Amino acid sequence: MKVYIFKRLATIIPMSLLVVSVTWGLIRIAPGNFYLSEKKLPAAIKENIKKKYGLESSLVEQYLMMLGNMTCRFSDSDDSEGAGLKIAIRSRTLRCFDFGYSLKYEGQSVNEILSRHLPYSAVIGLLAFLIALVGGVSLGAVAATRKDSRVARYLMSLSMIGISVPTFVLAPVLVLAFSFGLYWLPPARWGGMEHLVLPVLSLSAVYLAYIARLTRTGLIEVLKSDYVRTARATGLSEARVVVGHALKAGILPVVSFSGPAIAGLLAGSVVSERIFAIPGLGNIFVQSVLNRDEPLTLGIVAFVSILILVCNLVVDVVYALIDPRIRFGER
Amino acid sequence: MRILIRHLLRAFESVGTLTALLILVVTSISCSTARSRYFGYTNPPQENVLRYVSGPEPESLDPQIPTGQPETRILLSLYDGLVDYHPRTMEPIPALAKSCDLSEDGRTYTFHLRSGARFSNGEPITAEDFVYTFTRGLSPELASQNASFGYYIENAEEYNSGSKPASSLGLRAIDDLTLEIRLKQPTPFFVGLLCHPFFRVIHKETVEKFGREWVRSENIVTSGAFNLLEHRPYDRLVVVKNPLYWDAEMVRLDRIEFYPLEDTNTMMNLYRSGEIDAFYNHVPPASWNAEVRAFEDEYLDFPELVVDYYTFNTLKAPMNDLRVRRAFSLAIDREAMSKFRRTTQPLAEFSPKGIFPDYDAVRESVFSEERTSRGISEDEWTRRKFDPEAARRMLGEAGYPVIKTTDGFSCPTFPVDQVEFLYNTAESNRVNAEYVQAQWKQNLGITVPLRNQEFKAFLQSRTNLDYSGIARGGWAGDYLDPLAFLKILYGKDNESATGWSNSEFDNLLDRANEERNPEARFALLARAEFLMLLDQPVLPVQTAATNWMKKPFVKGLYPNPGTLHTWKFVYIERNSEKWDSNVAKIMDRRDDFVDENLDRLMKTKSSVADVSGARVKR
Repeated sequence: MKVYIFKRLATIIPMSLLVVSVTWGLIRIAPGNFYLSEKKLPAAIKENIKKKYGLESSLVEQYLMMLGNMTCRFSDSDDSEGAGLKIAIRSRTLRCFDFGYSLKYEGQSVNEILSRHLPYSAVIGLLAFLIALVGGVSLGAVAATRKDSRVARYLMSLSMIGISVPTFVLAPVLVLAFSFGLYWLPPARWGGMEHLVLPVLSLSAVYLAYIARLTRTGLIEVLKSDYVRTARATGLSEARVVVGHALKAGILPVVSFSGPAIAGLLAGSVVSERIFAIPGLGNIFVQSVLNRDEPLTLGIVAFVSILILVCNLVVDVVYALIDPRIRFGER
Repeated sequence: MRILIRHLLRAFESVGTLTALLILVVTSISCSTARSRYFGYTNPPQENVLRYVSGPEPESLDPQIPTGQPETRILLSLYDGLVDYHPRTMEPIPALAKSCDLSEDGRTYTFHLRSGARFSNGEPITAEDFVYTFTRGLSPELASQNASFGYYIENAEEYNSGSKPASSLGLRAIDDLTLEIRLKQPTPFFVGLLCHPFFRVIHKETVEKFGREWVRSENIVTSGAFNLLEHRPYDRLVVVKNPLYWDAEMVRLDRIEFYPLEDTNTMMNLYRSGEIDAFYNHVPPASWNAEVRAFEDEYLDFPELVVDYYTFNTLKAPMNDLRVRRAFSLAIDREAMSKFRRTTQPLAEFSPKGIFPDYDAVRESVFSEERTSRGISEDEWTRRKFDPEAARRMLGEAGYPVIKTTDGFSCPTFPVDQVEFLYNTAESNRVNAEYVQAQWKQNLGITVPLRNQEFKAFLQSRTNLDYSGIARGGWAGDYLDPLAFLKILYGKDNESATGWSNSEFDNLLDRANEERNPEARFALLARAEFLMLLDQPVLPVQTAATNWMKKPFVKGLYPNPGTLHTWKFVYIERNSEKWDSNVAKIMDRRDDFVDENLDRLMKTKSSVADVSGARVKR
């Protein structure tokens, strides 16, 4: 198990470097650059900008510089500028994970932007996932145990609506209902607990619906199995059979769905962040691409790719913990 | 089979009830709100605070770096310059300079600064600080995209491109309170240009000590009516009244909260729920426009310092033929388009209408002179805004005869595959593009293919003339002068993205720049404009409008042509009898607080506004 985890962790480095390199290439291929605007800049100003941001050196040099910044490189100058880890080794400084400065937001480092805006997305994302998980599993379990009842049919229809209605429809409808109909909640912006309700609800809806359907399908299958029949035969109540025995195996599909889902939720959702004016990472990521803000885009891509890889690893480990049939590296 | 049908019915039954329930809830909510006098919750805040949506997150709080208006709106509160924008007209009014003299040759300005003005850290503001600020803005190391604003100063371009030292710049601090600026050539709108944040004074020691991080809230030193309290990017930026400001006595707002937002529907929702008091221009989405413009105490719709136009790629066939370009221009019904868009004025000229009344008058007479000398009848001239018959004739002369068919027109010989209409992806652009496409189809029988691109890709295509046919254009003037528009067609390698240039046009602009008499100068500019329009490298469509909203208790906030506000004139009126009503007349109405303070500021002898050539309507 430990060896397996270590191997998987080791693959994360080359994988994310590959992702970053491909992204870098795509940004360079994309038309336009960060200083292109409606107004044509005089040649002298363009030259000044290129000099300032190191765009005069060859592409290979720029690429290596970028990779060096993102991983580790030695720097001779002990200037205080730049973010990331700084380790002094004799007279030189080893600098790691310095994603550089944003091209659009003068004077702000990418590390700073990431650490400043990640918490917003993470709070909303985690809350949304928690609601989706608890709500989805319970509703799915109810639907599975009362397979043919009217309640189950309503629940499953509701979940179908949840999956089909996109956030950009659901969110305005929620705003209309709760902010302008009932006057219970503010329509947007970051603030107190009341500001969290609508974004969390609208973000969790799809995940909740999906998890409910996954749980139901998984559970129906498991409820037919022999060991559940044995459990029932011992005289346990139906609730204890489902919660204590069947659910553990029944939610395996939910676990594998959760990995990428958590990663996606943590990194922020563009649509709900825009609609509710939340200063999260998702919107900033999209804006950085539109602005051709290369360091910021690369920093977020690197971060998100590592996040997804780690989440997938965690899911695989949780799998083994839940299901005794799964073992790593043993035949 | 029967079971399947039963299952389907059951499924429909449950989905159907749920959907019906949802629709019922939503419609009952949206219908329950009765029409009231004001749009949404309207109650002045407890404190003297203005909550304003300024646009997307500012690039930087360094006044010399950002290029956009959203930043400018914030920077105007933090920094003060030699002059400030007139709240209604955006003409320059005295600020840190109380007066100014202009030399005989029109090239040397001497500004007399106020004594007692201080930075937010208490240090005095001197002429030397302005020399430092301007020099820094022009330095090649800063690489400011705005540096060309300063190119009017002697040797500025040379210094910015590294060929001359900073000491050669036409800037001199004669003493602590006297600043001399020498220009390359007479520039009548120069004083107006000095309102821009690029020319607003910054604190040397702070900038040099903290480098690119000097604008962080813990380091920043400012010079304006407000100080930075907190900046939470993408969330809020709060400024508070600066007690050390030289004109602090006049400032009535204790605080301004700027909200950097991106989604216009969200802004409308916040406005409606009373969480913001005003927002910037072009916010109301088309779907809200019909509803909100009925609130005549809040909705502001005034001409903007922006023209919407289309460019022709004059280097490629068939648009290299003047007759084809004219035909395409004549075939668009501009009146109908403006009625359809609701927030624009039709435009057949290139500099906006209704922003420079003096120029508008001169232009009218020059155009009539020029047209008579060329044998163009008045009738023909007025119909240049829309004349489908002439358009078809013109196209026929160019070798593409338009044939009448049973259901309209057709132009079978026109090479449709060699033209396109290129625009940048945005809902409003798409609607406009479809409108002109329909017009060309209806009046010329030509269906021009539409192509949209993401903004930066679009800019690259257009700048490199990498498009065939027609592309969307829009231009916002940097200063209040028709030259701000005409200059984009000046010179061989100009920024109009049309491939067009004309030495006679350039010559007229050169002569206008030498001319000291404002009227004669306008006449030269108008002649240049006429000449260019005859050649039709661009297809003017409309003067844009600054449509935005403010709550009636927010006073001193005016719909000026750039939606740039001088915040010290803004205040919250608690007496609901004095609230603004019918804001269509807001520009003509006297406001005691605003006008008394304007009079006080303008009283200083040889006021700066007098030496600026551009005159604008009150």
